[in-house]
This record gives sequence, C-alpha cells and structure tokens, in this order.
Amino acid sequence: MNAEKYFDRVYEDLDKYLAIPVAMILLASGVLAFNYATQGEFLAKGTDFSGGSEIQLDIQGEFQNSDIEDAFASAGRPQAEALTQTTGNQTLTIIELPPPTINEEEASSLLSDAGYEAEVVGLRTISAAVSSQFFLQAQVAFLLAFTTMSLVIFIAFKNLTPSVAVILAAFGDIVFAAAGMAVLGIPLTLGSLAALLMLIGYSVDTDIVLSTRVLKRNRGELRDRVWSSVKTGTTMSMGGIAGFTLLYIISYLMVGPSELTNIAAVMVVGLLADMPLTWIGNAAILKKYSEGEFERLNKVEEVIPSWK
Amino acid sequence: MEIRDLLKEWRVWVLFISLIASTVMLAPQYETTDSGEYTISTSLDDRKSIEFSGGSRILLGLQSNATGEDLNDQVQQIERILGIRLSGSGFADTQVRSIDLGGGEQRIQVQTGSSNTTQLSQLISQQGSFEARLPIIVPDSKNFTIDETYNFQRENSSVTVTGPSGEIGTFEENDSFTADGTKLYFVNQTEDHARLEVTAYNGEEIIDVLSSQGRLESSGGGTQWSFQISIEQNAAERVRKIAQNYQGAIGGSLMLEDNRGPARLTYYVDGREETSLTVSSEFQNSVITRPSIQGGAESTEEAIDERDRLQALLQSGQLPVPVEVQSINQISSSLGGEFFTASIVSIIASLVAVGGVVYARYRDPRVVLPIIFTGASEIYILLGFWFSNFGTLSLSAIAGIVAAVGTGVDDQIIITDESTREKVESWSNRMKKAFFVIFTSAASTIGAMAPIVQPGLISLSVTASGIGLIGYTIYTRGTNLHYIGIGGLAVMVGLFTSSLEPSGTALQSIHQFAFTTIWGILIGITITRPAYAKTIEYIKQN
Repeated sequence: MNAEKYFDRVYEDLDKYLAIPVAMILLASGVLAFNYATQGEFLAKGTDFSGGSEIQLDIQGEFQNSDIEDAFASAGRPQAEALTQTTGNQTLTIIELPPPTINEEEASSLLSDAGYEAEVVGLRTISAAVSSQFFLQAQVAFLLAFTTMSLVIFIAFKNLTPSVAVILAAFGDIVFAAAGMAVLGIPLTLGSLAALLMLIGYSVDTDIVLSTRVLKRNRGELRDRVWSSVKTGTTMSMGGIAGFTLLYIISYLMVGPSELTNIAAVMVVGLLADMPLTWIGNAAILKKYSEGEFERLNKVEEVIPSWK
Repeated sequence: MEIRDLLKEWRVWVLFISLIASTVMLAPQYETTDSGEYTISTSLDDRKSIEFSGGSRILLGLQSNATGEDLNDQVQQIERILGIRLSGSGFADTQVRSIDLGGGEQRIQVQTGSSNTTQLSQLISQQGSFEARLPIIVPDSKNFTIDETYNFQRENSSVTVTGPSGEIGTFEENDSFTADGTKLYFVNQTEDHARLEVTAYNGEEIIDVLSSQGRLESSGGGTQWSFQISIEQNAAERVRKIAQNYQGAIGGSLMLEDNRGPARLTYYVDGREETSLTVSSEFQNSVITRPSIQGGAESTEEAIDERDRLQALLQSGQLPVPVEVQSINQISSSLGGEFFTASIVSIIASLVAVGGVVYARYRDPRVVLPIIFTGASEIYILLGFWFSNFGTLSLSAIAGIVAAVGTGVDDQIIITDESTREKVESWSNRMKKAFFVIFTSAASTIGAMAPIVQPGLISLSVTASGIGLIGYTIYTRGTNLHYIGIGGLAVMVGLFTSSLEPSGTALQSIHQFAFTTIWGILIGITITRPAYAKTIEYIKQN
C-alpha cells in the first residue's frame, strides 16, 4: 500500500521530518510576530473585542463597496470597511465601523444624505468599555481552557514527556490556527475565540490516540502501533475537516461571511495543522521516549533520592 | 452474538428510549391562530435566538459610582423598572436581565423580538424623570402664588426671587431653584420678558396611569392622543393654586396676561421638552386628581408609539441612575430566517461529508451506516433533550452541533478501529482502551469549553486540582515528581484568574457553543457510544 510505504519512509527518518512541524510553528510565530510589529496586536480584533459598529444594509441600485466607505468617510466616519454578503435572495452590504458607535437612524440618514436608498436589516454595536471587558474575560477563558486541558493530559498520561508532547501539539495547533486567521483575514471575535477553545480540546484527540496506542499497548512493533494510530487519527481529522469545510461552504454560499464561516475556517486550519504536528512532531517525541532517550526526565525521583 | 442478544442489550435500549423521548419532546403541535387557521409548531420554535428569529438585544451601562450591594440594588431596581416599561409598551417577547461582566462590572441586558432598536433604545435609555410645568412670564416684576406669594424682579439678564421669608436668590438662564418644595426653572428670556417655569406635578406624584382611558382622535393633518393619570391630592391642590395665577374664562383655557396667548402646560422627560398643550380653566376652580395627558403626532402609528412610550415611562417610574446604551445587536426576521435554513442545511451536509470520509476508509456500509445513524441520533437527542427544554438555537449552537458530531464520529472511529485489532486481546480489554481514549478526550474538550460558561468555578477547580497534584505527590512520597511543578503552575493560574473576578455572562453569545459541545459529548459517552460499541461488536462477530 502506497500510504504505508510512504509512512515507513517518514517513520525511518522521523528526526529529519521533525523539521516540518518545527518550521510550521516558527512560520506561524513569525506571522503573528509580524502582525504584532506592524499592527500592535497578534490578531486583528473584531467588533466584539475592539468596540464599534457592524451594520448590515440593503442598499438599492449600483454601487461599489468603496463608494459606501467614501460616503461614511465624507460624513466624518473614516475607516469604515464595507463587504458584500449574498444571502438566498438578497445582497447585503456589511459596514464595519470603529468606535464611537453609531445607531440605526444615524446610519440610515448618513446614507440617504449621500444619495443611497438603504435599509438597515442588522446592527451590532458595542462600546469600547464593554468590548475591553469582553476581551479580558476572553483571555481568562483561554488561559483556563488551556490549563484545564493540560491538567487532564498530565493526569491521564502521568509521565512528563508524553504529556508535554500532547500539550505542545495542541499549542502548535492554536498558534498555527491563529496565524491562519491572520493570513485569511479572520478577526478575533467571540465566534473565532470559541473555535480556538474548541481546537484546544478537539486537536488533542488524535494525540491521545497516538500516545495511548504507543504507551499503553505492549503488543506489536512500535512502528505498527504508530501506523495504526495514523490510520485512525487521519480518518478522525479528515472527518472533522470534511464536516467543517462543508459548514464553511454551505454557510458561505447561503448567507455569506458570518460567524459560522469564521468558526469553520479556524477549525479547518487548526485540524489541518494538527496532522503534521501529531504524526511527525508528537510521534517523533514518543518514538524517542519509547527508545529510552528521555529517561532522565522521567526518573526525576532518582535525582532527589531522599524522597524514597 | 445473535441479533436477539443485541436487542436485549440495555445499552441499545437506552439509545432507543432516548430517541423515543426526544421524539415526544420534539413532536409537532397543532395550534389554532386568532384567525382560526391551523398552524404546526414544535417546541424548538420558541427556542430560536434572535439571530434566527430576528429581534434586538441591547446592553445598558449604569452611570453610577455605587459598588457592591448598592450597585446590586440599583441593578435590580432598573431591571424591575425596565420590565414594567417594556411590558407596557407593546414590544413582543421581551426579556430584561442583569449581566455581570466580571471585575464588578454590571450591565443590564434587554432583549425583544422586535428589530426596531431606535424606539427600543429610546424607551429603555431614558431615565424617566417626568415633570409637567406651567409658565411664569416676568416682564419687569411679577407676583406669583404657589403656597405663598413670591415676587420676581427682572434686571439685566437675571431674575431675583423674593419669598415671604426674604430673598431666595438671583438666577440666570438655565438655573433652577426650589420654593415651597416646588421646583422652578429659568428657561430663557427675550428683550421683553423672562420666562420661568414652575413644576405643576412630577412623575413621583403620579399614583396611576389609567391606560384604559386612552384615546386617539384624528384632527387636521395628524392624530391626537390622550390618556388619564391619577395624581396625589397635594399635587392636584398645587396645580389649582398655580392655575389661579392665570387669566381664565369659563369653558376656555388658562391665558397669560397681556395677550401673550394661552398658558401651556409643558411635559418634560429627563429635562427634555416632549409636548405642550393648553389647559382648561376648570383647573382654577376644582382640585382635579385625574388630569389627562395629551399630545399629537403626524400619523396614527406615531401617535400610538408616542402615547405608549409615555405611558410606559410614567407607569414604571424613574430609574435610580441614568443609563446608556453600550451595545446593540439587531437582526431582521428575514435575515434570521435565511441563517436558520443555512444552518440546518450545513448540519445535514457536514453529516454527509463525515459519512463520505468514513466510507472512504472502511468501504463497508455495515460500519458506515451505524456511524452515521449514531451521529444523527446524537443531534436528535441533543435537540430533544437540550434544545427543546433549555438551550437556545443560535449560530454558535449550530457550530457546536457540528463540533459535537465531529467528536462523536471521532470516538466511533476509535471504537471501530480498536474492535478490528489485536484479536488476541479480549473484547472488553480492547473496549477499555478505546474508552480510555474517549474519556480522556471528552474530559479535555469539556475542560476547554467549560471556562466559557463557568470561568469562576473552573478557576477554583484548577486551583484545587493543583493543590491535589501537590498533595498526591507528597502522599505517594515522590511518585511523578513533576506533578509538584505542574500543580504549582495550576495553583498560580487558578489564583491569578480568580483575582480577575471572571464572569461567564461576559461571553454569553458563545455559551450555546460551549453548552452544545459539552452536552453533545455527555450524550455521546453515556448514551450513543456504548450502544455503538455493542452494535459494532455484533457486526464484527458476524
């Protein structure tokens, strides 16, 4: 079988292939660092976390999105961003405005003054004070989620090295998914935050399969145990990727870019990154571990004999 | 294993009973509308969020320096007052609740099925201080009697007011002062006279709003509205005394001196003029405790809105502190409907996609069909148990359903693969390994989702787990020594996050995502996965 032969080749030279996940994490960190250097934040914050307004408009007639942005700019509301959302039977324009917030009447009269016949069909505004509190709570939730997942892994696998390998893979997934968000222009919103938190829990599934088969099973060659988990884990990841890709495509076609497409995109990017991180990164660490290379780490008690 | 044995298996029974119970909870009901038409509805219809049904959600901030208990009291009072305002104003499906954003930050959230946020924010963001004022025109000098007689002297741009017990003060435009416990305002002045206003009665003196006495009348190019209120006796007596300062004609209106026209009663809400009207000279002769409040608008619809808003404001009373709109979330029902259709199609499509992947791997319909059936059962039970009773179907809930199906199918793949391997090992040993993976991954996913809903509780749990790990290491005299470091880190994270006073309500728009995945996983590990494991055992043995 071709896939198995290819796996054998990689498995033999796993150390060399370890460069792939390392490069992925470095690249993703680079993207985030570049964002931080140029924009002052790792990820662009959406309206939920930066404050401002998001207006969904049904505007009659022919126009370019830039015309609408200009209309807002000339009415003293610069930095408006307009995008098109096509739903089943109508095309809507979404305007994103930085704080201060705007209300329905102001938005309608601003556009009618600029000569557009527009109806406000959706409006979301959030003041800077509330959004900064949301952001603080989001960071707390993220820190707690990652810590809880790590504790579960440490308790389930007991030993330091395999646990750290799983947590590193999850960390890599999140960093890669965050870089993916930066590249694809997905802002950090409550929805994309939910997806990142989900990735913390979801992406460790494949690592748990791999670690369990490698560590808790004694029969068979190590290579066979890894290969069996690759087969199981890849099917799992592909199932998730297929499900979220379909969620992305269908919701994009039916209602255009929305919180659903953001969540789906983040999940797909994270699950794609999970495959090399698990099957090369985590597998390489576990292979070394099984071959006894990290013995010193796991026998810390011998370093401090007085404990015994 | 025989099919008869499989059907006798309690795990399979639990699944079927859950499916039947979900069907009962999701069963469509026939209802008759007011117009006599039959409609079919399910319990899910009432559980759609405003993202699907259309509506608005507004977050109000309090302009208050209060903290702790005082702040909680204010929040509760505002909640109650806004509840009364909304129930009296004709907005559908209203809900008012307090929200704790963490760090002692309190907000009020108002949600309704209406997507008219302009009208809604106007109604709820007004503090609601109400005053009905009558004018005092001061040409150069003027005497005006409330309980006592006051003299008003105009000089340059100011007015000096003197009462029976001496001078009250000298006032300029926009000043306000009190005489006899009644509030007076210096409104403006022209070359000819200064205009002051005296409060005839205020919102706190209104005992009741007789909304059943409301009237609408078309007149000229617009619609006049009116309704009666009941005011306290002493306020009514004050109105009579004030009215006696004006010229009156039998059956006519109160008039200002020197042909300056009628003395109009002006209503103010939060210090802003709402409407003014002429006053019957009847007020000079009798103490009227049931005056009516009137106004006019261009259209009947506007007249009703205006009347209802003022009635609601007067009924509910004044908010203890001013509030401001800090966040609006509004969506029209047509857009919401399209989102709902897209979501349902997305769930079905993702299930089909997962089925495709599973088929590509196993190429055996005997395995693929149970996996899809189990995945679909999970959604069905989730809808029946969770959404028809507790959850809200929102965009984030839909993403949660897809995520729950994803983790569910993952677990079934693990069970399937484990069932086909290492036949030398006993079935139960193989399943033990499969369920170790399933429980560990369920715990990590639930652990990652729970901080969205209960960050406070999770902070404490993390601290407690950290202490537990340290305690375990000491108790076992050094087994897994790294637990001390990890436990220490966990304690630090737990204490740090607790110090930030985390609040689950701040992230409430993704609560449904977290709840759906958590419940999906729980339903999976308790109901569907054990049944699937038995089914696959039957399939593999035959």
